[in-house]
Amino acid sequence: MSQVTVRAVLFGDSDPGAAVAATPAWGTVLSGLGGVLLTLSPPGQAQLVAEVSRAIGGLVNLDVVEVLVGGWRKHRALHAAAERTKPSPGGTEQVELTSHQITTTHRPYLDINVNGKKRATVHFDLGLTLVVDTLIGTVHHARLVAVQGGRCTVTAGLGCEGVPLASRQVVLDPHLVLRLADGIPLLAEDRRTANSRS
Amino acid sequence: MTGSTARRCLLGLVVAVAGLVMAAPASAAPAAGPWNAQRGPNDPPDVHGLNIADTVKVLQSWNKGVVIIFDPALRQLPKGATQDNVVASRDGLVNQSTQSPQEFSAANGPRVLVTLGELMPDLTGLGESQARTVLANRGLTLDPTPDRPPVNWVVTGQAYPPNSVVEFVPVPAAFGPPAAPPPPPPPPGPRVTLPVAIAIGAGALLLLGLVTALVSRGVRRSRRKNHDKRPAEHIEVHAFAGQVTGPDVFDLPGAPPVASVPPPREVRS
Repeated sequence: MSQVTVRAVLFGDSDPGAAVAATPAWGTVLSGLGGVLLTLSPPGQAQLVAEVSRAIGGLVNLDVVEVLVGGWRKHRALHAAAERTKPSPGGTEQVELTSHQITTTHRPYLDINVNGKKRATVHFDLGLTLVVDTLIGTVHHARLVAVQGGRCTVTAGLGCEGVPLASRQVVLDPHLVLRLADGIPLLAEDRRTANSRS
Repeated sequence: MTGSTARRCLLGLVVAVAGLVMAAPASAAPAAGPWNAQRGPNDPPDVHGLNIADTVKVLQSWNKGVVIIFDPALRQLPKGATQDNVVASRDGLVNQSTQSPQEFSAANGPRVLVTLGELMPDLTGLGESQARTVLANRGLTLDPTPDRPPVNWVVTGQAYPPNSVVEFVPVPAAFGPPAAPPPPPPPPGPRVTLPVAIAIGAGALLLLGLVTALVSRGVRRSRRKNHDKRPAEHIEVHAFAGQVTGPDVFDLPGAPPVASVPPPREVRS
Protein backbone atom coordinates (compact mmCIF):
# COMPACT_ATOMS: atom_id res chain seq x y z
CA MET A 1 0.00 0.00 0.00
CA SER A 2 1.31 3.46 -0.81
CA GLN A 3 1.37 5.75 2.18
CA VAL A 4 -0.96 8.73 2.41
CA THR A 5 -0.55 10.32 5.80
CA VAL A 6 -2.80 12.66 7.70
CA ARG A 7 0.17 15.00 7.66
CA ALA A 8 0.02 15.11 3.85
CA VAL A 9 -3.76 15.57 3.93
CA LEU A 10 -3.60 18.43 6.43
CA PHE A 11 -0.43 20.22 5.45
CA GLY A 12 0.66 18.96 2.05
CA ASP A 13 4.37 19.59 1.64
CA SER A 14 4.45 22.27 4.36
CA ASP A 15 6.15 21.74 7.69
CA PRO A 16 3.34 20.88 10.15
CA GLY A 17 4.98 22.74 13.03
CA ALA A 18 5.41 25.89 11.01
CA ALA A 19 1.92 25.61 9.53
CA VAL A 20 0.30 25.16 12.92
CA ALA A 21 2.39 27.94 14.44
CA ALA A 22 1.05 30.26 11.74
CA THR A 23 -2.58 29.66 12.74
CA PRO A 24 -4.38 32.10 15.05
CA ALA A 25 -5.28 29.17 17.34
CA TRP A 26 -1.60 28.55 18.08
CA GLY A 27 -1.65 31.57 20.39
CA THR A 28 -4.32 29.82 22.45
CA VAL A 29 -2.13 26.74 22.72
CA LEU A 30 0.81 28.83 23.86
CA SER A 31 -1.29 30.67 26.39
CA GLY A 32 -2.24 27.26 27.79
CA LEU A 33 1.46 26.65 28.24
CA GLY A 34 1.86 30.01 29.92
CA GLY A 35 2.30 28.46 33.33
CA VAL A 36 5.32 26.53 32.16
CA LEU A 37 6.72 29.21 29.89
CA LEU A 38 6.80 31.80 32.66
CA THR A 39 9.12 29.65 34.69
CA LEU A 40 11.61 29.30 31.85
CA SER A 41 14.40 31.55 30.70
CA PRO A 42 13.86 33.26 27.31
CA PRO A 43 16.06 30.69 25.52
CA GLY A 44 14.16 27.95 27.34
CA GLN A 45 10.84 29.39 26.23
CA ALA A 46 12.03 29.48 22.62
CA GLN A 47 13.25 25.91 22.84
CA LEU A 48 9.99 24.68 24.33
CA VAL A 49 7.88 26.31 21.62
CA ALA A 50 10.18 24.88 18.94
CA GLU A 51 10.07 21.40 20.48
CA VAL A 52 6.27 21.38 20.72
CA SER A 53 5.78 22.56 17.16
CA ARG A 54 8.31 19.97 15.97
CA ALA A 55 6.56 17.20 17.93
CA ILE A 56 3.26 18.01 16.22
CA GLY A 57 4.78 16.80 12.97
CA GLY A 58 5.25 13.38 14.51
CA LEU A 59 1.66 13.22 15.77
CA VAL A 60 0.11 13.43 12.33
CA ASN A 61 1.94 10.58 10.62
CA LEU A 62 -1.14 8.38 10.74
CA ASP A 63 -1.54 6.40 7.50
CA VAL A 64 -4.91 7.07 5.88
CA VAL A 65 -4.81 3.90 3.74
CA GLU A 66 -4.18 1.80 6.85
CA VAL A 67 -7.30 3.31 8.39
CA LEU A 68 -9.27 2.60 5.21
CA VAL A 69 -8.17 -1.02 5.10
CA GLY A 70 -8.67 -1.35 8.85
CA GLY A 71 -12.26 -0.24 8.38
CA TRP A 72 -12.85 -2.70 5.58
CA ARG A 73 -11.51 -5.53 7.72
CA LYS A 74 -14.31 -4.73 10.13
CA HIS A 75 -16.93 -4.54 7.42
CA ARG A 76 -19.45 -7.33 7.93
CA ALA A 77 -19.86 -8.24 4.29
CA LEU A 78 -16.13 -8.36 3.55
CA HIS A 79 -15.43 -10.27 6.74
CA ALA A 80 -18.14 -12.82 5.91
CA ALA A 81 -16.80 -13.24 2.38
CA ALA A 82 -13.32 -13.78 3.77
CA GLU A 83 -14.61 -16.45 6.14
CA ARG A 84 -16.43 -18.19 3.27
CA THR A 85 -13.56 -18.12 0.80
CA LYS A 86 -10.80 -19.05 3.22
CA PRO A 87 -11.36 -22.86 3.26
CA SER A 88 -11.28 -23.10 -0.52
CA PRO A 89 -8.01 -22.06 -2.22
CA GLY A 90 -9.94 -21.22 -5.38
CA GLY A 91 -12.83 -19.59 -3.58
CA THR A 92 -13.70 -16.15 -4.90
CA GLU A 93 -16.59 -13.82 -4.15
CA GLN A 94 -17.54 -10.40 -5.33
CA VAL A 95 -19.00 -8.22 -2.58
CA GLU A 96 -20.88 -5.03 -3.21
CA LEU A 97 -20.38 -2.49 -0.44
CA THR A 98 -22.80 0.40 -0.38
CA SER A 99 -21.65 3.88 0.64
CA HIS A 100 -20.11 3.66 4.05
CA GLN A 101 -18.13 5.71 6.48
CA ILE A 102 -14.97 4.81 8.36
CA THR A 103 -13.97 6.92 11.35
CA THR A 104 -11.09 6.91 13.74
CA THR A 105 -10.05 9.25 16.51
CA HIS A 106 -6.59 9.51 18.00
CA ARG A 107 -5.83 11.47 21.14
CA PRO A 108 -2.07 11.78 21.30
CA TYR A 109 -0.42 13.97 23.88
CA LEU A 110 2.89 15.56 24.70
CA ASP A 111 4.54 15.44 28.08
CA ILE A 112 6.75 18.40 28.82
CA ASN A 113 9.59 17.74 31.20
CA VAL A 114 11.78 20.46 32.61
CA ASN A 115 14.94 19.37 34.39
CA GLY A 116 13.61 15.83 34.54
CA LYS A 117 10.27 16.75 36.10
CA LYS A 118 6.97 16.56 34.24
CA ARG A 119 5.60 20.08 34.14
CA ALA A 120 2.70 19.90 31.68
CA THR A 121 0.75 17.67 29.31
CA VAL A 122 -0.65 18.97 26.03
CA HIS A 123 -3.53 16.96 24.57
CA PHE A 124 -4.30 16.76 20.89
CA ASP A 125 -7.31 15.42 18.97
CA LEU A 126 -6.74 13.88 15.58
CA GLY A 127 -9.94 12.91 13.79
CA LEU A 128 -10.20 11.11 10.49
CA THR A 129 -13.41 10.43 8.60
CA LEU A 130 -13.47 8.50 5.34
CA VAL A 131 -16.67 8.45 3.31
CA VAL A 132 -16.41 5.64 0.75
CA ASP A 133 -18.71 5.49 -2.26
CA THR A 134 -20.28 2.23 -3.38
CA LEU A 135 -17.68 -0.31 -4.43
CA ILE A 136 -17.37 -3.92 -5.49
CA GLY A 137 -14.60 -5.83 -3.76
CA THR A 138 -13.30 -9.16 -4.96
CA VAL A 139 -12.35 -11.51 -2.13
CA HIS A 140 -10.19 -14.49 -2.98
CA HIS A 141 -9.11 -16.96 -0.32
CA ALA A 142 -9.84 -14.47 2.45
CA ARG A 143 -7.91 -11.69 0.73
CA LEU A 144 -9.17 -8.53 -0.89
CA VAL A 145 -7.67 -8.81 -4.36
CA ALA A 146 -9.60 -6.22 -6.39
CA VAL A 147 -11.69 -3.12 -5.85
CA GLN A 148 -13.99 -1.39 -8.30
CA GLY A 149 -15.34 2.05 -7.48
CA GLY A 150 -15.08 3.25 -3.91
CA ARG A 151 -14.09 6.87 -4.31
CA CYS A 152 -13.00 8.00 -0.85
CA THR A 153 -13.52 11.46 0.66
CA VAL A 154 -11.07 11.99 3.50
CA THR A 155 -11.67 14.63 6.17
CA ALA A 156 -8.87 15.15 8.67
CA GLY A 157 -8.88 17.51 11.63
CA LEU A 158 -6.32 18.38 14.28
CA GLY A 159 -7.11 20.14 17.53
CA CYS A 160 -5.23 20.96 20.70
CA GLU A 161 -6.89 21.18 24.09
CA GLY A 162 -10.25 21.59 22.34
CA VAL A 163 -9.00 24.30 20.00
CA PRO A 164 -9.15 23.40 16.29
CA LEU A 165 -5.76 23.89 14.66
CA ALA A 166 -6.16 22.50 11.16
CA SER A 167 -8.79 20.78 9.06
CA ARG A 168 -8.83 19.71 5.43
CA GLN A 169 -10.68 17.43 3.04
CA VAL A 170 -9.28 15.53 0.07
CA VAL A 171 -10.62 12.89 -2.29
CA LEU A 172 -8.68 9.69 -2.85
CA ASP A 173 -9.05 7.13 -5.58
CA PRO A 174 -8.51 3.70 -3.99
CA HIS A 175 -7.09 2.39 -7.25
CA LEU A 176 -4.24 4.84 -6.95
CA VAL A 177 -3.44 4.39 -3.27
CA LEU A 178 -4.13 0.70 -2.76
CA ARG A 179 -1.45 -1.76 -3.77
CA LEU A 180 -3.30 -5.00 -3.74
CA ALA A 181 -0.58 -7.22 -5.24
CA ASP A 182 -1.30 -10.66 -3.68
CA GLY A 183 -4.29 -9.21 -1.91
CA ILE A 184 -4.90 -7.65 1.47
CA PRO A 185 -5.54 -10.24 4.21
CA LEU A 186 -8.92 -9.56 5.76
CA LEU A 187 -8.85 -11.99 8.69
CA ALA A 188 -6.81 -11.39 11.83
CA GLU A 189 -4.89 -14.69 11.78
CA ASP A 190 -3.90 -14.22 8.14
CA ARG A 191 -2.74 -10.72 8.94
CA ARG A 192 -0.50 -11.99 11.71
CA THR A 193 0.98 -14.59 9.33
CA ALA A 194 1.56 -11.96 6.67
CA ASN A 195 3.18 -9.64 9.17
CA SER A 196 5.46 -12.40 10.50
CA ARG A 197 6.51 -13.20 6.91
CA SER A 198 7.31 -9.59 6.20
CA MET B 1 32.44 42.20 -73.80
CA THR B 2 30.69 43.13 -77.01
CA GLY B 3 29.97 46.67 -78.09
CA SER B 4 26.27 46.18 -77.45
CA THR B 5 26.87 44.97 -73.90
CA ALA B 6 29.20 47.90 -73.20
CA ARG B 7 26.60 50.33 -74.44
CA ARG B 8 23.99 48.76 -72.22
CA CYS B 9 26.28 48.98 -69.19
CA LEU B 10 27.01 52.62 -69.93
CA LEU B 11 23.32 53.37 -70.31
CA GLY B 12 22.59 51.63 -67.02
CA LEU B 13 25.26 53.68 -65.30
CA VAL B 14 23.86 56.90 -66.70
CA VAL B 15 20.36 55.99 -65.59
CA ALA B 16 21.59 55.09 -62.09
CA VAL B 17 23.50 58.36 -61.74
CA ALA B 18 20.53 60.30 -63.04
CA GLY B 19 18.30 58.51 -60.54
CA LEU B 20 20.61 59.41 -57.69
CA VAL B 21 20.70 63.02 -58.79
CA MET B 22 16.93 63.15 -59.04
CA ALA B 23 16.48 61.45 -55.66
CA ALA B 24 18.73 63.92 -53.82
CA PRO B 25 16.76 66.88 -52.40
CA ALA B 26 17.55 69.98 -54.39
CA SER B 27 17.76 72.87 -51.96
CA ALA B 28 14.62 72.29 -49.98
CA ALA B 29 11.85 71.17 -52.26
CA PRO B 30 11.86 68.93 -55.29
CA ALA B 31 12.16 70.77 -58.57
CA ALA B 32 8.97 70.78 -60.59
CA GLY B 33 7.50 72.95 -63.25
CA PRO B 34 7.91 73.95 -66.86
CA TRP B 35 11.47 75.23 -66.58
CA ASN B 36 14.79 73.59 -67.16
CA ALA B 37 17.15 72.78 -64.34
CA GLN B 38 20.10 74.11 -66.29
CA ARG B 39 20.14 77.78 -67.00
CA GLY B 40 20.64 78.94 -70.54
CA PRO B 41 22.08 82.27 -71.60
CA ASN B 42 18.60 83.75 -71.94
CA ASP B 43 17.30 82.43 -68.63
CA PRO B 44 16.67 84.81 -65.73
CA PRO B 45 19.25 84.99 -62.98
CA ASP B 46 19.04 82.71 -59.97
CA VAL B 47 17.19 84.42 -57.15
CA HIS B 48 17.30 81.52 -54.70
CA GLY B 49 17.28 82.78 -51.14
CA LEU B 50 16.53 86.42 -51.99
CA ASN B 51 13.68 88.30 -50.40
CA ILE B 52 10.87 89.83 -52.46
CA ALA B 53 12.49 93.22 -52.91
CA ASP B 54 15.86 91.83 -53.93
CA THR B 55 14.22 89.31 -56.22
CA VAL B 56 12.33 92.05 -58.03
CA LYS B 57 15.47 94.16 -58.19
CA VAL B 58 17.60 91.35 -59.63
CA LEU B 59 15.00 90.28 -62.16
CA GLN B 60 14.29 93.84 -63.32
CA SER B 61 17.97 94.50 -63.67
CA TRP B 62 18.06 91.42 -65.89
CA ASN B 63 15.12 92.65 -67.98
CA LYS B 64 13.20 95.80 -67.27
CA GLY B 65 10.07 94.50 -68.92
CA VAL B 66 10.00 91.25 -66.94
CA VAL B 67 6.67 89.96 -65.73
CA ILE B 68 7.22 88.37 -62.30
CA ILE B 69 4.73 85.77 -61.16
CA PHE B 70 4.99 84.69 -57.51
CA ASP B 71 3.80 81.32 -56.36
CA PRO B 72 2.01 81.46 -54.02
CA ALA B 73 0.65 84.90 -54.81
CA LEU B 74 1.79 87.54 -52.40
CA ARG B 75 -1.82 88.17 -51.36
CA GLN B 76 -2.41 84.51 -50.76
CA LEU B 77 0.59 83.62 -48.64
CA PRO B 78 -0.03 80.91 -46.03
CA LYS B 79 -0.89 82.14 -42.55
CA GLY B 80 2.30 83.12 -40.80
CA ALA B 81 4.20 83.85 -43.98
CA THR B 82 4.60 87.52 -44.87
CA GLN B 83 6.26 89.48 -47.63
CA ASP B 84 8.92 90.30 -45.08
CA ASN B 85 9.93 86.74 -44.28
CA VAL B 86 9.31 84.80 -47.49
CA VAL B 87 12.23 84.20 -49.85
CA ALA B 88 12.53 82.98 -53.39
CA SER B 89 13.14 79.30 -53.76
CA ARG B 90 13.52 79.04 -57.53
CA ASP B 91 12.69 80.91 -60.67
CA GLY B 92 12.33 80.21 -64.34
CA LEU B 93 10.85 81.37 -67.57
CA VAL B 94 7.32 80.27 -68.28
CA ASN B 95 5.27 80.19 -71.41
CA GLN B 96 2.92 83.03 -72.14
CA SER B 97 -0.04 80.76 -71.76
CA THR B 98 0.79 79.85 -68.18
CA GLN B 99 -1.80 81.09 -65.73
CA SER B 100 -0.21 83.56 -63.39
CA PRO B 101 -1.21 83.63 -59.73
CA GLN B 102 -0.17 87.25 -59.59
CA GLU B 103 1.56 89.32 -62.17
CA PHE B 104 3.90 91.81 -60.60
CA SER B 105 4.05 93.93 -63.72
CA ALA B 106 1.72 94.38 -66.62
CA ALA B 107 4.58 95.00 -69.00
CA ASN B 108 4.79 92.77 -72.00
CA GLY B 109 8.18 91.21 -71.29
CA PRO B 110 9.51 87.73 -70.37
CA ARG B 111 7.39 85.97 -67.75
CA VAL B 112 9.30 84.56 -64.80
CA LEU B 113 7.68 82.31 -62.23
CA VAL B 114 9.25 82.74 -58.80
CA THR B 115 8.38 80.02 -56.34
CA LEU B 116 8.43 81.31 -52.80
CA GLY B 117 9.42 79.60 -49.61
CA GLU B 118 10.74 80.23 -46.14
CA LEU B 119 14.08 79.89 -44.46
CA MET B 120 14.00 76.62 -42.54
CA PRO B 121 14.23 77.08 -38.77
CA ASP B 122 16.30 74.79 -36.55
CA LEU B 123 13.82 72.43 -34.89
CA THR B 124 16.35 70.22 -33.14
CA GLY B 125 15.42 69.61 -29.50
CA LEU B 126 11.93 71.09 -29.80
CA GLY B 127 8.82 69.19 -28.77
CA GLU B 128 6.06 68.57 -31.27
CA SER B 129 3.91 71.53 -30.24
CA GLN B 130 6.92 73.86 -30.12
CA ALA B 131 8.04 72.69 -33.55
CA ARG B 132 4.55 73.22 -34.97
CA THR B 133 4.46 76.75 -33.53
CA VAL B 134 7.87 77.68 -34.89
CA LEU B 135 6.90 76.41 -38.33
CA ALA B 136 3.45 78.00 -38.23
CA ASN B 137 5.06 81.39 -37.58
CA ARG B 138 6.59 81.03 -41.05
CA GLY B 139 3.56 79.56 -42.77
CA LEU B 140 4.98 76.04 -42.68
CA THR B 141 3.44 72.80 -41.44
CA LEU B 142 5.01 69.81 -39.72
CA ASP B 143 5.11 66.24 -41.00
CA PRO B 144 6.28 64.36 -37.90
CA THR B 145 7.71 60.85 -37.77
CA PRO B 146 6.20 59.00 -35.98
CA ASP B 147 2.80 60.46 -36.76
CA ARG B 148 2.01 61.06 -33.10
CA PRO B 149 5.23 61.37 -31.17
CA PRO B 150 4.98 61.07 -27.37
CA VAL B 151 4.74 64.35 -25.52
CA ASN B 152 8.24 64.13 -24.10
CA TRP B 153 9.89 63.34 -27.43
CA VAL B 154 11.83 66.02 -29.28
CA VAL B 155 12.98 66.63 -32.83
CA THR B 156 16.07 64.57 -33.49
CA GLY B 157 16.32 65.25 -37.20
CA GLN B 158 14.75 67.41 -39.88
CA ALA B 159 14.55 66.85 -43.63
CA TYR B 160 15.76 70.32 -44.50
CA PRO B 161 18.78 71.81 -42.77
CA PRO B 162 18.41 75.07 -40.84
CA ASN B 163 18.47 78.22 -43.01
CA SER B 164 17.84 76.28 -46.19
CA VAL B 165 14.94 77.47 -48.33
CA VAL B 166 11.88 75.30 -47.97
CA GLU B 167 8.76 75.74 -50.01
CA PHE B 168 5.30 75.60 -48.49
CA VAL B 169 5.06 71.87 -48.18
CA PRO B 170 4.81 69.80 -44.94
CA VAL B 171 8.25 69.69 -43.38
CA PRO B 172 9.33 66.14 -42.38
CA ALA B 173 10.92 65.91 -38.95
CA ALA B 174 11.92 62.85 -36.93
CA PHE B 175 11.13 62.68 -33.23
CA GLY B 176 12.78 60.63 -30.54
CA PRO B 177 13.26 60.48 -26.78
CA PRO B 178 15.38 63.31 -25.47
CA ALA B 179 19.01 62.40 -25.05
CA ALA B 180 20.22 62.23 -21.49
CA PRO B 181 22.31 65.22 -20.61
CA PRO B 182 26.01 64.43 -20.54
CA PRO B 183 27.30 63.82 -17.04
CA PRO B 184 28.99 66.82 -15.53
CA PRO B 185 32.73 66.62 -15.59
CA PRO B 186 34.17 65.39 -12.33
CA PRO B 187 35.29 68.18 -10.08
CA PRO B 188 38.99 68.61 -10.07
CA GLY B 189 40.42 66.79 -7.13
CA PRO B 190 42.41 68.61 -4.55
CA ARG B 191 46.06 68.59 -5.25
CA VAL B 192 48.00 67.01 -2.47
CA THR B 193 51.67 66.98 -1.87
CA LEU B 194 53.60 63.75 -1.34
CA PRO B 195 53.96 64.09 2.47
CA VAL B 196 50.24 64.79 2.79
CA ALA B 197 49.44 61.74 0.62
CA ILE B 198 51.65 59.55 2.77
CA ALA B 199 49.97 60.86 5.90
CA ILE B 200 46.52 60.18 4.44
CA GLY B 201 47.55 56.65 3.45
CA ALA B 202 48.93 55.93 6.89
CA GLY B 203 45.75 57.27 8.47
CA ALA B 204 43.62 55.10 6.22
CA LEU B 205 45.65 52.02 7.13
CA LEU B 206 45.29 52.86 10.81
CA LEU B 207 41.54 53.30 10.39
CA LEU B 208 41.28 49.99 8.52
CA GLY B 209 43.13 48.19 11.30
CA LEU B 210 40.88 49.77 13.89
CA VAL B 211 37.73 48.75 12.03
CA THR B 212 39.02 45.19 11.59
CA ALA B 213 39.75 44.94 15.31
CA LEU B 214 36.27 46.23 16.19
CA VAL B 215 34.55 43.85 13.80
CA SER B 216 36.45 40.79 15.03
CA ARG B 217 35.68 41.78 18.60
CA GLY B 218 32.00 42.10 17.71
CA VAL B 219 32.01 38.66 16.08
CA ARG B 220 33.64 37.11 19.17
CA ARG B 221 31.06 38.75 21.40
CA SER B 222 28.24 37.60 19.15
CA ARG B 223 29.51 34.03 19.28
CA ARG B 224 29.78 34.20 23.04
CA LYS B 225 26.27 35.61 23.18
CA ASN B 226 24.90 32.81 21.03
CA HIS B 227 26.70 30.36 23.24
CA ASP B 228 24.96 31.98 26.17
CA LYS B 229 21.58 31.54 24.45
CA ARG B 230 21.48 27.92 25.49
CA PRO B 231 18.67 27.55 27.98
CA ALA B 232 19.57 27.05 31.57
CA GLU B 233 16.85 24.43 31.84
CA HIS B 234 16.88 20.93 30.40
CA ILE B 235 13.68 20.69 28.40
CA GLU B 236 12.27 17.47 27.01
CA VAL B 237 9.07 16.94 25.06
CA HIS B 238 7.83 13.35 24.79
CA ALA B 239 5.04 12.36 22.40
CA PHE B 240 2.57 9.56 23.20
CA ALA B 241 0.02 7.91 20.92
CA GLY B 242 -2.74 8.19 23.50
CA GLN B 243 -6.20 6.78 23.15
CA VAL B 244 -7.23 5.44 19.77
CA THR B 245 -10.82 4.87 18.75
CA GLY B 246 -11.62 2.93 15.60
CA PRO B 247 -11.41 2.54 12.82
CA ASP B 248 -15.14 1.95 12.92
CA VAL B 249 -17.22 1.37 9.85
CA PHE B 250 -20.84 2.42 9.39
CA ASP B 251 -23.18 2.06 6.46
CA LEU B 252 -24.42 5.46 5.48
CA PRO B 253 -28.13 6.05 5.96
CA GLY B 254 -30.28 5.20 2.97
CA ALA B 255 -27.82 2.69 1.54
CA PRO B 256 -29.36 -0.57 0.36
CA PRO B 257 -28.38 -3.77 2.16
CA VAL B 258 -25.06 -5.31 1.32
CA ALA B 259 -25.13 -7.95 -1.39
CA SER B 260 -22.68 -10.76 -1.65
CA VAL B 261 -22.67 -12.82 -4.80
CA PRO B 262 -20.31 -15.57 -5.85
CA PRO B 263 -18.82 -15.04 -9.30
CA PRO B 264 -20.13 -17.24 -12.14
CA ARG B 265 -18.43 -20.61 -12.13
CA GLU B 266 -16.43 -21.68 -15.08
CA VAL B 267 -18.04 -24.48 -17.11
CA ARG B 268 -15.62 -27.16 -18.01
CA SER B 269 -16.37 -29.48 -20.86
